[in-house]
Amino acid sequence: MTTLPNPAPRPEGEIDELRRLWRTPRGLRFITVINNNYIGILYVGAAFLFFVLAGILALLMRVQLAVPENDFLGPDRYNQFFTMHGTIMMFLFAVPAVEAMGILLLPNMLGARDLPFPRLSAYAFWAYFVGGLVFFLSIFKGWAPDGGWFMNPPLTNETYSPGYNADFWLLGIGFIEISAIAGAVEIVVGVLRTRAPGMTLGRMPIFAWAMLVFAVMIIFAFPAVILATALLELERAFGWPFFLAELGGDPLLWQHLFWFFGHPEVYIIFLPAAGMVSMIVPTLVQAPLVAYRYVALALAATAFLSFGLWVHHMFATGIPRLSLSFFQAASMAVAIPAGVQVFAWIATLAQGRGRMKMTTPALFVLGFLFTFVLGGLTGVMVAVIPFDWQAHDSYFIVAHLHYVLIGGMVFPLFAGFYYWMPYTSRHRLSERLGRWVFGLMFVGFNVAFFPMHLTGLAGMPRRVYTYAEGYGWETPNFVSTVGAFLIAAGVLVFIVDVARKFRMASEDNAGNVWNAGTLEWLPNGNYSNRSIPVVTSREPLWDQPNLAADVEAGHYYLPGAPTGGRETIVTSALDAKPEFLLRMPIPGWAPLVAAWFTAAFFLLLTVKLVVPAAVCGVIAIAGMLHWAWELDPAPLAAPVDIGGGIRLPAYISGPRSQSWWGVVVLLLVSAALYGCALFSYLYLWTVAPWTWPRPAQLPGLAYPFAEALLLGASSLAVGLANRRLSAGPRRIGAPLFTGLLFLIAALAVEIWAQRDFAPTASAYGAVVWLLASLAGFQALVVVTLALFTLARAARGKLDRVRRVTFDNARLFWHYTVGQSLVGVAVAHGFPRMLG
Amino acid sequence: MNADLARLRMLAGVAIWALHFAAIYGFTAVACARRLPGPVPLAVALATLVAAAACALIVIAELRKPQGFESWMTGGLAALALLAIVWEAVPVVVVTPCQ
Repeated sequence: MTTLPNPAPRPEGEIDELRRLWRTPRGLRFITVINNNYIGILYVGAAFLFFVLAGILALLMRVQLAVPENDFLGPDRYNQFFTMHGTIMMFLFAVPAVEAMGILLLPNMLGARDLPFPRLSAYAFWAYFVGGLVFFLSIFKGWAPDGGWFMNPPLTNETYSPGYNADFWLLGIGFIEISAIAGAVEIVVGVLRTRAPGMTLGRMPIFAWAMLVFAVMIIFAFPAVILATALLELERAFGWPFFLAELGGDPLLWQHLFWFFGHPEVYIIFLPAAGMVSMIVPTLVQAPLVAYRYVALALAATAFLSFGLWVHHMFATGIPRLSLSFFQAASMAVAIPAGVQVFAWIATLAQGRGRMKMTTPALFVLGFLFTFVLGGLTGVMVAVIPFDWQAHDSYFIVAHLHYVLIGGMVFPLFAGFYYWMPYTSRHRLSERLGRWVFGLMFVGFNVAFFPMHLTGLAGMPRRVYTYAEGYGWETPNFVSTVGAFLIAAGVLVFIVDVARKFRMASEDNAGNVWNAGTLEWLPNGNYSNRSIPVVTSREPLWDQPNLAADVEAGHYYLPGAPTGGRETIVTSALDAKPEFLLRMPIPGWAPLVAAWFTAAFFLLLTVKLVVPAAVCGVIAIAGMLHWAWELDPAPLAAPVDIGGGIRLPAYISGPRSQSWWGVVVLLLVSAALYGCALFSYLYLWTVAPWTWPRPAQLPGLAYPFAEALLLGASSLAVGLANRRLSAGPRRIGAPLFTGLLFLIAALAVEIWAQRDFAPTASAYGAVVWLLASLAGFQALVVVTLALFTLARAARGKLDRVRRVTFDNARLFWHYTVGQSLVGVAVAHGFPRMLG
Repeated sequence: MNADLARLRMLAGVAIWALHFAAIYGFTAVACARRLPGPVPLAVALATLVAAAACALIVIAELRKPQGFESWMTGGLAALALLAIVWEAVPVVVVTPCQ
């Protein structure tokens, strides 16, 4: 970079204007904060709280298991505790914790002022935090789920698990997934579209790669568990027999759907942690990461291979051996990309021999390498089918999964806490206490979990609340309990250190104490960087010596706030060329109200308080509409000068807008969910073809053809509205209403067509009605979006330029028509194809 | 968007892998549910040949291009997908279907 975009000194008061615009709300209004620095910290803090709560449950379980024939916790309470421990650690700690680190770090790391949808982050955080806390409280009423974190039916169906316990899991956790998906939308669009100019894909920090892969995995994996929980809840509440074998259902369908989510989940947790390690290791040795390209490739490879592993959790379910073998092969293959990363870290560390100081992040990284490699090795062992049959459901598995998860995710996360603390706090954490934290946690971890390999091989099963004397399980169990308390002591020291040293800070943070090379270590404030730098390499702070000073002096792009509001630069997805200026929202109550009442809606449904739940649901939707009403601000005609002779439009609609990208990502989620529903249809047909009707029993061909015509006409009507919008907003009402009418009519025809197949009578009826219900849900969203669009048109907030609302509704509408057409083809075509 | 869509080609290898995996697993599952193990080995072999060839073509095409990051990533993902496709189908040589 030879010339700076804004070489002249900046006008007085410009920085004060930035500070004013990005100021954090004061007093009670603080909770409406949406800035990623604050939401990120709140998010990390909440995740850490759940880590501690689930850890306390673990300690209580270890007390119970310390000696044989113990009656400290009864069997019922023990069942609730291990279910809650696993559920909270996976859903309320691990995924939110890494997502939180992404929200906290990504904007600064990418050189953006904030993530593209800051209110969505706030919504995701509040829904998760409120929902998670109430979910946890269920344990004090004895209502906590007790069917294991994977909730396998038939144990969890209405017959064997009456009461609210299973519902708390299904509705409570089911909706917290929505918050993970909201975060994923944010991260995909943020990483792809808000990178600093010049930060091409090949120059992106590895953590950003990891978060991108993480978010894409959430998009494809989480819908599977959302669908699974919906199916089980439909079975429990309304008797739709998806999992009841006598009516053509199959409990294994649950396991397929759950593990299609559940295995990728492990990598969803691990990849961001690996991404953190790839950021910390180069800084420790003051040298670039070895084999950057291979590490990026390994992240992507892990992601796709991880979707071919789910059946390895089902090796003992009687699936034919050849099918199992495909998954055994895939399970071994996934060790290769993990190995590539491990060797890249070792090579980087070796490169900096002698330069590396044994700081706390370094200790945690080394602890991670040791532990994770051991967990990976036992992972390859249990990938081998005959060995898995021996070790299945024994403490060997408990040992393996904790080596991978604590070794692979918790240790890197603690390394990350120590490493990034100076970025977000006025003081760094204490190195002296840090050694104690690491020592206690590392030694405690191995003391607690290594013996479990042996108890497992000696035959001790998982999830038993006590055991008899004389099997040789006493000593290793006692040792494990001691180890668990050592880990707890380490976490306690960490909490003390955080209480002493952590003081939230932005402009007055401790700064680049590690001499790291990536952008998050530039001087920053609530507005992120004073000016947005031009990136020419992977470690800009190492390669551009004046960068920090020039950024702070406002010599780079967008040194002020030319539109008089919060804003950031949106760049192209691959080569990061500036495209437009995104004007960003300011704090408000609407996302909070929407989040709290979304949580209330689901939790009240859990305890069958239907009317209050409905009221809360309406308030939540009203909150969302109010929130959306303030989006899509009036266009500014004149392009805005960001420096260096670059003038960017300050309003954009269509396929380049961040909003369009957000909707496309959301549609991918819908498509993944629908794909899982189609899988369920085909799967149930393979296990119970006797519940499928013969062609003669099907509704006549007139129905599907009428539906297809209506759906096609509905799409055409939207297309017509699209064309008319260029003439003015007044003329879109008629085609939109007609289109809605066609869409609803198509749905009505389908419902009428299927009237002879009761959803409660057989798995066939249930799954056909499932497809219709999904079409109905989509149609409901389309109706809402269309009416919202028309309301904006009526209030003069929609015209041929300012048309983002219409475009979003149109995208969603066309997708809905497409999905419904597929549904009609399957429901009416597939049984006919069988003949 | 169109330029970006064209660049989704980067994910071609991954997509081929997914289709192949779904095809061999799905075909085997349906064949075994209907107690028709006969065609399984041939079907898996065919699917594997087609998928592997498609990945190989992508790798060759990318090798001929000037080496940018994108091109490297496209080729790299396709090469890995090729390995995974072959490796995951190998059991069909030694394991009898539907037992």
